[in-house]
Amino acid sequence: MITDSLRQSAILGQALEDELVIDAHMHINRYHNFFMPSAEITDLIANAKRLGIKRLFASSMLAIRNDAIAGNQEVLDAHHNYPGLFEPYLVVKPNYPDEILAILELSSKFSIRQFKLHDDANGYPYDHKNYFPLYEYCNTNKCVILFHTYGKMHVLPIQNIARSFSAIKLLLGHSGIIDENCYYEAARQHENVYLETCNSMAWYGLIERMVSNAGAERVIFGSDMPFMSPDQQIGRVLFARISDETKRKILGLNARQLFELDIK
Amino acid sequence: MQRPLSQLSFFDCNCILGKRADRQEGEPYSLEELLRDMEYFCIDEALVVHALSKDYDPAIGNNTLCQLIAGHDNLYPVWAILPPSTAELPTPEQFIAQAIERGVKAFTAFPKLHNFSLAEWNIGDLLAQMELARIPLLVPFSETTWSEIESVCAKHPDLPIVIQTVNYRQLRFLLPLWEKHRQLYVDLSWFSICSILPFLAKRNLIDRLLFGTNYPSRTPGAAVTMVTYSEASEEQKQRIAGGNLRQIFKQNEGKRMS
Repeated sequence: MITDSLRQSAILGQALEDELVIDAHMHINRYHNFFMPSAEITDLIANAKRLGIKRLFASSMLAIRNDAIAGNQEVLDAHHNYPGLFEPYLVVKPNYPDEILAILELSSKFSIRQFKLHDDANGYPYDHKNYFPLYEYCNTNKCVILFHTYGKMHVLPIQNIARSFSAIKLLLGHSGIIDENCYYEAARQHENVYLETCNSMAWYGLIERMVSNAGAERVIFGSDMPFMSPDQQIGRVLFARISDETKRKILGLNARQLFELDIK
Repeated sequence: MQRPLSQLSFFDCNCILGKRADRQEGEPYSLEELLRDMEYFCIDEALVVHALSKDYDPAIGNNTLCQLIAGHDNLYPVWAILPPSTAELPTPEQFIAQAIERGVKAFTAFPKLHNFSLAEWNIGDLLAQMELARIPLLVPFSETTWSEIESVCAKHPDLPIVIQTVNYRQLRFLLPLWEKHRQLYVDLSWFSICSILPFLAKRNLIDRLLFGTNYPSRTPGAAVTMVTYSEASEEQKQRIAGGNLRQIFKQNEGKRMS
C-alpha cells in the first residue's frame, strides 16, 4: 500500500486541489539578464492554478531592479485585480532612502504586512543603516520580510537584524543554495528566522536536511516564478523523503501561520 | 515503499555512479543506492558515467563501469573520451569498436577538467569516428562553451550532441543554436525555467529536450515533476520523459547497421 499520497500525485502530475499550497516567493514581470518565455501575471496565475497553489506572494522585478514606487504599484494593482489569490510584497531600496517613508505609508494604508528585500545591483548589506526605518516599522507591526539570499554573505548580516528586531519574521529566500549550514545556524539561533525553499540547484536531500536541522515548522515553500518552474520546485518537496504531514506544513500550513492568513 | 504507478517511462541521460571527488556528505554513490533511487523516483532506465572516468582516469573508469553494471538491463554505459594523440585510450577505430561491443550507448567529454579541447585540431579524428558510428556525445555545460559546441555541431552534423545541466538562463544562446543545428539536445536537470515546455512545443523544439537529473548531486524529483506537471500534452511528456532519447538510439543504430 502506498502511504505517501503526495509522491503519488507528483508522479501522476495531479493538481493538489485538496491541499493548502501557498507560494511564498514569486515575482512578476521581466528580468534583464535572460529570456523568460512567460512572465505575465495571467500566465503565472494559470501555472499556480494548474498545480493547485491557492495563494501567491509576489514582488515586482521593476521594483527590485529600478523603480520601487512604480513596481510596488504593479503588485498593489494585481492584489486588487486578484483578490484572495495574489498577495503583494512591497520592495524597499536602500539606495533610494527618500522613498522609504512613502512605501511604509503604503503598507499602513493598504495593510500590507510583507516586504521583499533584494540587494540586486545596489550592493547594500542587509544591516545597512538605510534599512533601519523599515526594520523599526516591521518590528512594531510584526511584518514578514522575505530576503533574497545567497549564502553567508547575506545570512550573516540578517542574523544581526534577527537579533535586534525579534518581532520581525525573517524569511530567507533560496535557503541552502550555498553555505547550507549557515541557514541552519540562523534558524537555530533565532526563533524569528524561517527557511524558504526555492532553489534552482535542487540539491539532493536538501529539503530533508532543512527539516531535520531547522524543524518542519520553519520551512516554507516558494517557487521563484517566473525565473524557475513551479513544476520543478514543487517536485523537490513532493518527492522528499519526509512524511506527508511534514510536506503539508512546508507547502502551506506554515505559511498560513507566518502570514496570519484566514484560509483553509 | 511501493512505487507509484507512472504513466510515463523516464530514461535519465545524466547520471553518475561511484565515488566522486566533489561528493557532498549524504549524496549516494553505490549501485544499490542508484537502483533504489530509480525505483523511488520512478525512473525506468539510465545512461550512466562512472566517477572514475571523470575524476581519475577514463580508461579505468570506463572499464570499471561496464563490470559494475553488467547484468542490469536498464543501465547503459557511457564512456569518457580523450584526444587520441596521447594514446591514453585505444585508437579512434579501436575505441569505437570496443564501445559498440560492450554496449556503450553514448560518450561523454570533460574538456575543462581533463585539459583538452573539442576543437578539430585536438579531437576531430575521434569525433569523426563517433559521427560515423552515430553514438551520441554528452557534454556537461560547465565543461564547454557555446562557441565550442557550435563548432562541433558545424563540423559533425550527424553526431548527436547532448549538453547536460544547462542552466535556466541560456535561451539567448541556445535558441539560435537550436535553429541552426538539428542534432543538438539539452537535458532538463537545470533547464528549469518557468513555462519552458509549452514554449518549446510552440517552436517545434520539444524533440530537443531530454529527461536528465544530474544525479546524485541533484534530486531526480525536480526533473520528474518538470515533466509530469507541465502544460505539455501527454504525448509530448512521453517524448521528453524518454521517447526522444530512445528515438535517437533507434534512428542512429538503424543507420549504423544499414
